[in-house]
Amino acid sequence: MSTPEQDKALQDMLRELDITPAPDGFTDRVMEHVQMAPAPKPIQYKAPIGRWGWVAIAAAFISLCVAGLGSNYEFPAVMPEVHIGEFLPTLPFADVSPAIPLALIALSAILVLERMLSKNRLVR
Amino acid sequence: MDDSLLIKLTLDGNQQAYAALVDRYKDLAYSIAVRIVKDAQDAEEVAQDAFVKAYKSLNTFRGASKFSTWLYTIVYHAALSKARKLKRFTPLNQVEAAEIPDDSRHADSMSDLTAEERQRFLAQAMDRLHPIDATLLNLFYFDEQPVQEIANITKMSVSNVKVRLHRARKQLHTELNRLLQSEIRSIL
Repeated sequence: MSTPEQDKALQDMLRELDITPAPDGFTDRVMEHVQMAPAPKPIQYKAPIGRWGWVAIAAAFISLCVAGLGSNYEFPAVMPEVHIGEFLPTLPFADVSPAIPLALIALSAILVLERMLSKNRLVR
Repeated sequence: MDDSLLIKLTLDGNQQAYAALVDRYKDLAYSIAVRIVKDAQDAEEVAQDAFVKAYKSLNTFRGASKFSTWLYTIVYHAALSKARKLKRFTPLNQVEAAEIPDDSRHADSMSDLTAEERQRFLAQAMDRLHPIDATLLNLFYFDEQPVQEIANITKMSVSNVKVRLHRARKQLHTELNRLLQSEIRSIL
């Protein structure tokens, strides 16, 4: 068994050993092949949300507002002096029906669809 | 100029930038190839093909590892594939089964040699090692690649790389002793 000293000496010798250099003109020969090869396409990235994605978000937002405003909330003619606790139950979305969850589901569906249609975001 | 900038320039169509990358890594790439295929001409072909392959797929390089690691991985596996095709390759498990003789009688003789003689004996002993062991030593000692990077290149586990490096040094020691013994015998 080699001693730790011998092993260390061997490691030092290994560090001294010259690497086998590539033959002369190696780079030129590689570049000749490279010039004939098809160039690699640059990497392009699309925005994470496409145009239709933004349209979908806007549409969903508008429908959410419409659904909220179309509820049985009645705007007070004059803003009364109310405590926050009293005011909260009368917020537009407070007692709106299933319109909000439906709008949210629609929004998710549209976004998922948009993602699927745009396939791979990374364009090669 | 750092690698990432050269890669970007290459992807923008500047082939001179790629020539700079080839120039930077050609020696170790060639050295890996020659250790495995054991023939200068075949090694040059393997290294050249690896550089061309790397160029063609440069847009797939994500920068998760160093460019050198990515490139050496291509060279290493291309060289293994070539060696297998040329039937110059013994699977690792067969080598593992072989016992490494324990011989350190002439271990200190190396220190009596000149630097030039040491280089010659060491190079000869490296040639006698299993191609994968020689490549591991190449990467670890000449290029000072960390064990983790070597594991990535060779697709071995970190612990396996460590064990193989230890065994490779032991084997190298034995081969050096054999060479020195035959040298002494020839002088006497």
